[in-house]
Amino acid sequence: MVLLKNRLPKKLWKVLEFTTTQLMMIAVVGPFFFVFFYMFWNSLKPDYLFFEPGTWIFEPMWSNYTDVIENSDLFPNIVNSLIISGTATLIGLFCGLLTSYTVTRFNMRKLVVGILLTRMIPYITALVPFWIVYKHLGLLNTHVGIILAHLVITIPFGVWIMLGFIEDIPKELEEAAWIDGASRTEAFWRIVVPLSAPGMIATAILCFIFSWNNFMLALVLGGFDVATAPVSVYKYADPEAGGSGQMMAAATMVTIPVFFIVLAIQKQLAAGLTSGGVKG
Amino acid sequence: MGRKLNSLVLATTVAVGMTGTASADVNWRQFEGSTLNAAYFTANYIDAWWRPMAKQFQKETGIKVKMQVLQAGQIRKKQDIMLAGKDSTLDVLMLQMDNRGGKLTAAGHLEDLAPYLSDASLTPADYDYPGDWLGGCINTERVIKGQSHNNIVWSAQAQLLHIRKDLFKKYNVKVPTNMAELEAAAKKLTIDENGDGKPEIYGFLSRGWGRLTTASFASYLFNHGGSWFKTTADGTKVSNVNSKESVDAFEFYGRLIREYAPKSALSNKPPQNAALYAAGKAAMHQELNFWHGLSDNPKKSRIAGKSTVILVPEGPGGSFPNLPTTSIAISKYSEKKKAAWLYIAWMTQKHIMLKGQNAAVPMCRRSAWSDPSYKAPTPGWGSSAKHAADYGIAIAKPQAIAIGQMRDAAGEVMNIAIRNGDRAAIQAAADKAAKFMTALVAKTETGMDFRGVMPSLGKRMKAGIQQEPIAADGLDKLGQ
Amino acid sequence: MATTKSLKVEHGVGRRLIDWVDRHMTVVFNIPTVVFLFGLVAFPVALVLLTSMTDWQLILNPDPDFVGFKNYITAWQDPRWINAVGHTFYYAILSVGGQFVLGMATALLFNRSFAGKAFYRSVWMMPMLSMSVAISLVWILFYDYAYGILNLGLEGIGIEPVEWTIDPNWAMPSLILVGIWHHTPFMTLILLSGLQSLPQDPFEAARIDGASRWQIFMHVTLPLMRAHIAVALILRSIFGVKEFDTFLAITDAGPMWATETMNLNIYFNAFEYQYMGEAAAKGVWFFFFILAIQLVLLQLRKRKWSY
Repeated sequence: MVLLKNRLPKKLWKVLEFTTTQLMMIAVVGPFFFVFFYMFWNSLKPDYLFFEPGTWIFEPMWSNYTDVIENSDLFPNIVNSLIISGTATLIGLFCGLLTSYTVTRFNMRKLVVGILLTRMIPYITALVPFWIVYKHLGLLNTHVGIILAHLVITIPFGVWIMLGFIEDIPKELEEAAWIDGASRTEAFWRIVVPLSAPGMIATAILCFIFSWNNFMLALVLGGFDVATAPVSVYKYADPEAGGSGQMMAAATMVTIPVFFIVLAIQKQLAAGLTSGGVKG
Repeated sequence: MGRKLNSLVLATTVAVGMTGTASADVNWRQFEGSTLNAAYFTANYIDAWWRPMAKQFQKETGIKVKMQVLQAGQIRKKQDIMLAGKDSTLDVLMLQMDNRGGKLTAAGHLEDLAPYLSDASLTPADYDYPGDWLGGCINTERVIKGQSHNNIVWSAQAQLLHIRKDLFKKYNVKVPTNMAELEAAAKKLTIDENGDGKPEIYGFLSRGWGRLTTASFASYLFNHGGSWFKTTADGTKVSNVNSKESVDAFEFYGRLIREYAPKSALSNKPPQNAALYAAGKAAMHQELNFWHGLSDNPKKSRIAGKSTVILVPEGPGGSFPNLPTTSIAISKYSEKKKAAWLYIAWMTQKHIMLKGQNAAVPMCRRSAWSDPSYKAPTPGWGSSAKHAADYGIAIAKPQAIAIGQMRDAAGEVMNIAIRNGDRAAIQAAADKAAKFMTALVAKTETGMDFRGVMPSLGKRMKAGIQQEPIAADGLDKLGQ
Repeated sequence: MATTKSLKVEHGVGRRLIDWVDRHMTVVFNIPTVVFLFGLVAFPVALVLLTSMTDWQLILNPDPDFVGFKNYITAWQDPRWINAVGHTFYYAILSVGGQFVLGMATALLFNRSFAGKAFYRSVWMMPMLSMSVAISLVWILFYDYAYGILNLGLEGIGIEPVEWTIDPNWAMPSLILVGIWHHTPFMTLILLSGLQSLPQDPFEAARIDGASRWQIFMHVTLPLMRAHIAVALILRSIFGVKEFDTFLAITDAGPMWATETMNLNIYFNAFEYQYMGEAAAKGVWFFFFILAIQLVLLQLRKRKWSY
């Protein structure tokens, strides 16, 4: 490589390097992206064409989308999901910030172990017990109930990821503030919180995704008034619903909102995750 | 599709609306303002009939029906949890008596409907139950001896054989009336047009997925003379899946799938199989008759107008149309039982059920079938569906209290039958399953007389009926 | 510092409150987490432990009897459960392993600078952001034996079609492939953050010593990344052994129970067969399995508070 680089004219080398990198990236990213392309493209297909997979050009059938909207609760459930996952994320983030700060600064190992343990509980076992507890508290089929349940996902995750960010903030900055007479709480609020902002965005996105994707909690604990998007989507996974075209339309509809959110804050997310974030 | 059916339903509203709402003695608005929670499973009839009718119901009665429609496997779990937890927010539930009916009945979770049926302020005078109900449907309603009248059976969808009229005509193949002819037809219609060793059209298509196969396999099992269970001399219910006849049936069905069905059938769920058939890739398709709606929809199908439905061919044991009916019931713990009953009574009235019938949802009311406004999608569909509703029995699953395990046990035998096909291997798997099933019955059904196990429940089909749906479409002269 | 003044609240209730928080910071700051998390988890966990010692069945036996530790033993007499343990490890090791190898390779790629990096990176993140139920639907179509796009492609290059979700031997690899597709980007991001925080000196030294790229990677990069690798593996393996949605949607534990993992076996026992007692006991066993895996992985990681 090095030898080649020295022999070729500088410009040509640059072009060569550019093309090979681009081709390589397309080769790596392409297959991963293809799934989404296929999802969208096929959401416009009439059902019988699914058995002629070689046919790529056809007259788009938007009725798959209108049918999904008409015949399922997907649309209201996407709104529900946004509310539920959004709130659960904010609370998870808040808890994660406070806890990870005390954990890193006061070396509270036992608490972290405890939190990690809750992450390991196979919740599938606990779903019916959850339902029973919820019934007695009147939390079934309510937004509050499902938000609380989703905290079981977002809090441990929030703590775990925030740990790395908080740890990377030099203690010296806080100590300087203490010397100036600030209390620990003030120093936390004025120095640690602003500095961990990129980390918080990254954490929030990850918490949101895990909550947004969760299916069983909302299935069992939701009900006639409140259910989430995955519950509606799962309807298309199996039985006498819709057919393949509607299946893809439903999948596309739940994929799009997340992508837009992420694209909107792509820069912050990448910055947050790569500035030393998720290493705990 | 939804819109099309809506307009169809509306058109019939005008036609029969005059006589329908006239039943004077029931005050339909007596529970105005209340809201009912209904837990239903996904099926085409939900969008075709239950949803539009719920809107009309609300208009006429002021009762709002909130439906939670989930995939069948999920809504069953949900219903079970809510019933076991005695949750008062569940009012109306849809269920198949041959599936969880026995379990929920035994546990006493379903409300006895007899008092409501006899209450003139809640049930219209011309409701005519059970006089207007078809025999096969009524047969499926009670599964345990001494069971209270805890459900109203309404849908008479049946597991029948969809066939391609055009292919049978083109290749002049005899439309099968017995199992040997079925296999011969499947062989002839597995067609490799371009000679690349891979058929373009497969002769036979049916479910090949473990526990789901029990439904499509049932008629083959019983027609071969087999059954899921039998009663021994001393009256004990024991598994019969390892009898010679039953193993014959497993072997036959397994061979059909292995040799004449596309391999995709092994991983497909029913809707994917239906789409496969609608794409014109198979000549015969064993599935519920309401799927005809998909293959007949020119927007979604390549074979619109080319398919019809016939009865499953007769076997050495006779002919047992498989009628996995759907019932509607009220939770024992509902706080709005009367309003819930009003909803059920309203939905199952003559003129409302006729609308479903006209939207190609086969109904359990005799009058809906004989109404002059009713027109079957194809003559063969009408004839086969009617006979199935009349003669059919609920054999789609190994009926038992512990239904989940039973279906999985039978599904495991089928897996061997399809993949391996060796007689001894099937027998061994069947013996193992039978041992497991018998032990489980002994453990879970002590002191119960669980019906639905004996082929004797079905009426013996009259000679010549097997031919009727075939003749109705003019296919009876083929293959001569 | 110019902002020093504004940092201070000199007197009054606010001052006293802040002082009080300062003194009890470890308690006050953790109230939300402890109340929400442990408050929520405590009851169900207690109920699971209680249930695991009864013969409760949801519909059939609503008035359970106490049976002691029987369920913990009978769980191991169920051949499906024993197979499920094997399947769980099979899936977790291969899918997390695959994610790690691919994630490391792509992290090294993304660690260089090139045109369009931001674009490629955001496309790369897409799988990890997508709903598993939704992408399962796409993979179901991919894996179709006769009409799926994968077999179409294989045929195009002259390879025999594969019975993806039909053949019991291929079903698990099929799910592993979905897992790798779905979660590799997450692995990439964690490892990338690790690569970017590495000190430069050891690399310089190695280069001066004339080490090859591969030697540098094996003997400098990997050891320095140990903490990041451990975190990535811990997070992914917790999720990996509990993977559920894709299994349920794509293979439904089949064919012939070849893809039944511990989590699915518990699901079938609790919801399909409704043996709540046995499902709870299996859940407790499952918990200990996860714990054991984590303890092993934690050995990889040595930090100042090495939990």
